[in-house]
Amino acid sequence: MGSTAQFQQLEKLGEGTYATVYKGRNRATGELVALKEINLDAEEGTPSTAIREISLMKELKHENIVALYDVIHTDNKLNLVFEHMDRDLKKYMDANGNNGALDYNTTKSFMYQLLRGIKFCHDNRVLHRDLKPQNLLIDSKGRLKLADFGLARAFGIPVNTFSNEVVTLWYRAPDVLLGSRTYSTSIDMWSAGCIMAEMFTGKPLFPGANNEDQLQLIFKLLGTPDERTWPQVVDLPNWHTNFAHYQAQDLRTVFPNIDLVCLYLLSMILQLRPDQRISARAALAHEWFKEFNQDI
Amino acid sequence: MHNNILSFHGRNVPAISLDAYFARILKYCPATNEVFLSLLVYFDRIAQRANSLSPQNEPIFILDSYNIHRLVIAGVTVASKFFSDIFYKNSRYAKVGGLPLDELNHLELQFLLLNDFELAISVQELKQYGDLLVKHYNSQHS
Repeated sequence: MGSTAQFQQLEKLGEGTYATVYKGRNRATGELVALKEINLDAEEGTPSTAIREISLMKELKHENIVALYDVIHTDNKLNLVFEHMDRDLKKYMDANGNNGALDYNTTKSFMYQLLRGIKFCHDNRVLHRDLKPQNLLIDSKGRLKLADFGLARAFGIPVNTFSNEVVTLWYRAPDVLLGSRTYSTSIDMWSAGCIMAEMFTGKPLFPGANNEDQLQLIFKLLGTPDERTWPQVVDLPNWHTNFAHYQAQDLRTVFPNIDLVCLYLLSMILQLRPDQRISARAALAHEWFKEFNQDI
Repeated sequence: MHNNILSFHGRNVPAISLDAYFARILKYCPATNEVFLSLLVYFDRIAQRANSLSPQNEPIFILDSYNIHRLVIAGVTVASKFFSDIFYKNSRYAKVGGLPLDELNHLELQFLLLNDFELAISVQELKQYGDLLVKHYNSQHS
């Protein structure tokens, strides 16, 4: 374990509920890092978000996941030393996109890297549970990495201690919105689908104002499910019979500029039923990515 | 490392038996089996890491009546936060564990440091410890 004196603290990069992130420079090597400073609260002790983020990121070493270099403990603070990335995907889209929309090849490359990061998490039995453009970091070479594992958790042992208060509303899967606590890897795939559409258009796909509104926006695009299309849906806690009945729209008219191969992949990700949603592994092998998959 | 371990050593042996202590935790800070089972894994990991660093190969981490209660409550606090979306404030774990809040906060951090913040346990590893526990229980009660 190192010391904070190794790093020169530069400008503030962001502030969250339990942490402040600074840009830092390693005094010995000149290397830039991101320093996440976590306050140890008197009532709560070490925040669970920090406990999870540290122990899960220590396990997850992959080129599409931000590297945790060190944990430095001082009096009433924990300092996490991360590899430095230039900006998050949201800011990247605002700066480089056409009204936020990214070009086709950039979207494809980012989507491929996002899915690789997700696959690695899932192969290592970790759910991220908060994928959104703000939590994906981009460097100057166009590499994308998953960050912010504060809501993540290990899975594998079936226990009923999953919360449905996970994932930022706009990227939250319909089964979770309907109150499911038995979700698994498919929860991250839904977020990935929302992010994919957002990269193409520059706008969030389902910018709901609250839980009900969020479900309504999803049903308007993909159709309201019923017992026939999704047999278990009626058993979910937040399901009620008076949801407005919408027909699924044709994605080709919603995304007129996107080719069929790509839309086919998007539709396999944005499946209402979690058991029908494509896995990260299968998505990576999809025809849309064939130029990346020559060597397998 | 030695100092981290010494933090758990109390001046006196707590009056409450370990059985009663676990029952109290389970009643007032209920957690799933994996939380309790994980304590065995963490204690073993701490022992291995600490004792491998010992100069004369003398064990420096030994569970005894002076430290076990503090190790248990700190371990339950850490494991609940890691494994479950449902957990309590440290003030509650401290009250149930019978120690001041600032001491629990300190022990929680020491527990994390002793484990080098590596809390993930594979399903196979957890199952091995579960099998051992069941075997032990059966040998005690047959």
